[in-house]
Amino acid sequence: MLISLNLLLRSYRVHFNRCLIVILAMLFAVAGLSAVLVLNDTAKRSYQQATQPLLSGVRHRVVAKTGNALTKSDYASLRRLGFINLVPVLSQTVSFFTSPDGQQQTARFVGMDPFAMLSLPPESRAGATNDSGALAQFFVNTWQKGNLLVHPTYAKELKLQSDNEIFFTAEGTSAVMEITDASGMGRQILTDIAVLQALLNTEEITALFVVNGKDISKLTENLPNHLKLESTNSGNEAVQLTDSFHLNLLAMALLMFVVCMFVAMNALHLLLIKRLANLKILRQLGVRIHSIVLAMLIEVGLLCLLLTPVGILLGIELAGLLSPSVYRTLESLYSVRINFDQLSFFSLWVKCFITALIGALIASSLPILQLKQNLSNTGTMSLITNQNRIWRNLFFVFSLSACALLVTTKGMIWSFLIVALLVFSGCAAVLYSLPLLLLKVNTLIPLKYSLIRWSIADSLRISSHSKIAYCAFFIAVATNIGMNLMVDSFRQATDSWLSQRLNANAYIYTESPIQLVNWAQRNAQSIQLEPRYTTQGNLRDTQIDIFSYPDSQHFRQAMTFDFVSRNIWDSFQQGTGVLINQQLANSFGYKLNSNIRFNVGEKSFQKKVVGIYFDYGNPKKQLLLPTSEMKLLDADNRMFAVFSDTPHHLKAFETQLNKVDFELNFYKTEELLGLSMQTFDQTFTITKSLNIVTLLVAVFSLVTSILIIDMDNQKQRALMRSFGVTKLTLLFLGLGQYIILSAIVCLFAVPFGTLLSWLLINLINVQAFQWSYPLIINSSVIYWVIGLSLLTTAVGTLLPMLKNNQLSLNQEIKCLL
Amino acid sequence: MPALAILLVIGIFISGCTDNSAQTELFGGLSDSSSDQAKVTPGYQIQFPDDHSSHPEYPVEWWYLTANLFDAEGNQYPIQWTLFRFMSNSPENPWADNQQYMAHAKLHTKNQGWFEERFARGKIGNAGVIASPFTAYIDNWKWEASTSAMYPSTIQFDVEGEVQVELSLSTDARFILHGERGYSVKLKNAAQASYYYSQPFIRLEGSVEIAGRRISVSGHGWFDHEWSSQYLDKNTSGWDWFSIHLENGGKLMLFNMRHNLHPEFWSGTYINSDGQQYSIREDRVKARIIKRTKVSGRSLPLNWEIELLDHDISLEISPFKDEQWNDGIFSYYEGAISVSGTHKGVGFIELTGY
Repeated sequence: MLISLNLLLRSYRVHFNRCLIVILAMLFAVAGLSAVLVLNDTAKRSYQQATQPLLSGVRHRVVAKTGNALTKSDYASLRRLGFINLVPVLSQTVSFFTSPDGQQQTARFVGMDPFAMLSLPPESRAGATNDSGALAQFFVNTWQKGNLLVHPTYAKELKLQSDNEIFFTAEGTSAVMEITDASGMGRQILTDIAVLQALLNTEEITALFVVNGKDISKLTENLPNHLKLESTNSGNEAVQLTDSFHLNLLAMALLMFVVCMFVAMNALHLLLIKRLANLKILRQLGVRIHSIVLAMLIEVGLLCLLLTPVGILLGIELAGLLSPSVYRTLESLYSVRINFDQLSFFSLWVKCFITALIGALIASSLPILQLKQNLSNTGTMSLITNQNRIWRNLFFVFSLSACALLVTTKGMIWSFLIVALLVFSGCAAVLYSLPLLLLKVNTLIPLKYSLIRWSIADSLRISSHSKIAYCAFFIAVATNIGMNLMVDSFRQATDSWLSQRLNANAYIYTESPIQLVNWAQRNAQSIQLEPRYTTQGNLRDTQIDIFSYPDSQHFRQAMTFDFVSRNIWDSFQQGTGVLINQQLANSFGYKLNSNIRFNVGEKSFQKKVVGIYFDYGNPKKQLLLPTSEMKLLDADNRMFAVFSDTPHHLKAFETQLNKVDFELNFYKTEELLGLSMQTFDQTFTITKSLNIVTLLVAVFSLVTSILIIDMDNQKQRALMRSFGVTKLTLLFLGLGQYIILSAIVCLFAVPFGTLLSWLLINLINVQAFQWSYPLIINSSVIYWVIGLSLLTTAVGTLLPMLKNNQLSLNQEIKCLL
Repeated sequence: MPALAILLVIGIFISGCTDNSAQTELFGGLSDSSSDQAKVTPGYQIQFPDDHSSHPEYPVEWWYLTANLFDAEGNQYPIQWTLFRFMSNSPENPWADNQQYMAHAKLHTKNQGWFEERFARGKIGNAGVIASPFTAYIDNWKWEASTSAMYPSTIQFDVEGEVQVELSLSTDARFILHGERGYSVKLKNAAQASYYYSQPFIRLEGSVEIAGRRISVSGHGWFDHEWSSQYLDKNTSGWDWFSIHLENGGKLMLFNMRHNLHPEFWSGTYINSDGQQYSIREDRVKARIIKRTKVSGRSLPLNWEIELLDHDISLEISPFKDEQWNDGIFSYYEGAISVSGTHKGVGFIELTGY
């Protein structure tokens, strides 16, 4: 066995290129997987520990109700009642400059009271001070020195360094930055609340964090009327909310991992072809097949052992690059908070090593199986045998199994299995059909085009040597088509839904609704303001969002329903009917006319479902009540829809709003639409990026595989040259071969990709988000993916072929001698 | 006086002797002297009830209550309740002023102990001392009288969420001014001093509730109020302090400042059962450590022999139990003691800098 292992390892010098592909494929696989694990695990730990800067276990916070303010006196009163686990916080997004005339940047500044943090019971402080003295450092650096603290990762993002002074021009104040990696630090700049209030010239308090709140109901009972307790969207709720997002990321990483393993399998296969002669000699010397196979498995294990740490380091770097975008998306979509805590390298290594080992062993199983068969034979024939019948049978087995599971099973794991079976059946279809199609094409070409016929026949040879690479390429193209069609359908559905739902001319968000209404009555009589009330309720022990919905004609026309009753608006107006979103309906199996019971505070409701509406992108369960009913509840009304007769009146209204002395945000509908779609596109940037990376990896694998096979075929090329075929002709013929092969694979990827898209929308999406939308097959999306795939294949192959093409006839025919 | 020992710890922090930990820098800002700070000078006339209240122009101040409480079966429940006030040079801002508060509360039984530490800033409204009616509070810990006189009054606090203490305090005895009419010298060369008075004749009654079980208790308490303009210097290595209730009704306060550059400086006040007060000169007290005990990783002198040469008093001091370490951000030993020898009694010992 040691002799075999020694031989295998020595072959690295001789077959460096093929070994390099195996190494690169494994590195890519581990890097992609570990990057996503780092992103997901860091985010999930932040939710579960309910982490805030220097604090853990913050699942609730006390805030002021609409139109009220949370004051220092409120905080003192609550503490004097014995609620000592409260930490006052001021949180504001503020623009600043790194020098008085420097570039403006924006960041979230958080001020917390270090005295309140020091007073927390030790068990509440435990999570905050896991690096001893972090709280003390915070105390010293902020209270004593008046500095601002920033995490190194965020400082890098903002291009800030320790001791940098930053300026708040609006307030004419400045402070010095200090970089610290204290626990719980995330994408915000942290300081003492007293320092921040002074810097921003405000007495505002955003919230009182409730740290490890045990007696929440007692706190609720003792809150004054103008304050309320709300969830910080941490813990299990946040884990559930974001689960589908993380699952999506993990699925993409696993896809990349699988493609990389196909690449590794292909490279191992090519490597074995090269090693075969030496391995046969070993057999002739009496080494048992078992020992050779064992040596190969040890080789694979050693590769995993050595490459996993390097891959993880690359993955951590990749996670660092992706984290701003991923975390910003998560924070804006789900109102969660993520810190920059590092994962344990060892646990990450264990996960990646085990996955890589399993993947690599599976990837090497087919080449090893073929090697075993080959070493048992006496001849030196190719490892590849005609297995067309097997592929055809496998296609039927995979596709029929997928159909059977689709009909009979439910659940996310089964859904992923169905997707996997679809992809594998596609691979089997490609492997079965590719040689048949090439033969058919060859017979269609007249005999007089002998060079083209030779080229097609040679393509058949190439395809039979690089089946695995074509499978990887097929998976990458099909998933790209599937994902792109899904995202495109989602985008179009969202755009159309938003355009219909956002029926007002503009929207206002304000903390001073009473002042706004009074001001509008006096100053803007041509404008109609429609308040939108919001509150939270409880349905089957689940928190739901409750919004008011005006029943004016404007709003009736704006609603887009999945299912709707005949007398919907009458029932809704009378208070007997309720509108629920698709997420709520799918979660609890509600249909039209289902009776639902829910509570808002102490008040109970029982209503009939009269409409199930589309609510794309909303991770929460939601229902709508008439405005008149919501007014009777203790609901917030910080949002207003603005209706104007003419654009001129709207413009005048907007101008007038600039002069009001209370805070508000005014959004024109077109701006809101643009902003929403921009957010939408940002959400899928990572998915698209990972898709393209996967495609590039697959193309890389395909190109290297083909070129290596082609390099082995120098004799045939030399013979062609000696017959007088020019270098340029051979270049075009070669390029044509690869493009035809890739094009055939792409053609197969179209139906399978479309099917995949349908499964993603109607199976995975419904399981994960509880809502779906229509599949829109946009041919331009398909053309784009195929075009990109063929272009990358062509460019990828052309460059080394051009290099090969520089050999003179003399040099080329030397190999014939 | 015992709280001054806490400041010793702070003084060590200021000096940066143990600069490995960031904790040592806590309250470092307190060390900067300011021209706004009032100075402790001889001749100040302490007046009641005005001086029960806060002296915010002085950098440090504390209200310190210890009591040896017993239930009907004779089981002891020693308590401590302390409110410290500090003045810093942090600028006034919308959130807070330049006053800060720290409070310690503890209760022990023979087998268990609870200790809690709290912090607060001035101007917020959750901590402070009000002159009339006298109220000293931090969060829901409150010592409250019905008039500007300190007694009768009530004190309520909880510790670690498991213990509730509710006591009424009463006395008709006069306050004891230590040193020269309340001007108390801490070092032989008088380089450090404070204004310091006590009320050692407090009778306490009430209840302690431990894990839901309410126990009626009563006993003797000792109250100190002290304020100063000076922090202890970097050569001060520690402090030993005793407050003792003798069975014959006598009271004894004794302290020893340990300094690297000066010899130990013992001083104190003895009040006999008739209420007569005697200052104890350094050369008229003999104190000897009998035994050191390992507590929370430190070797602490918990057993002492003390002799007052002018009063025929020879006492043996032993701890109520060894483990009475106050484990907070500012840590020190504050524990109940038993007294035997020529007189029997109970009391408290405070040890810092070990």
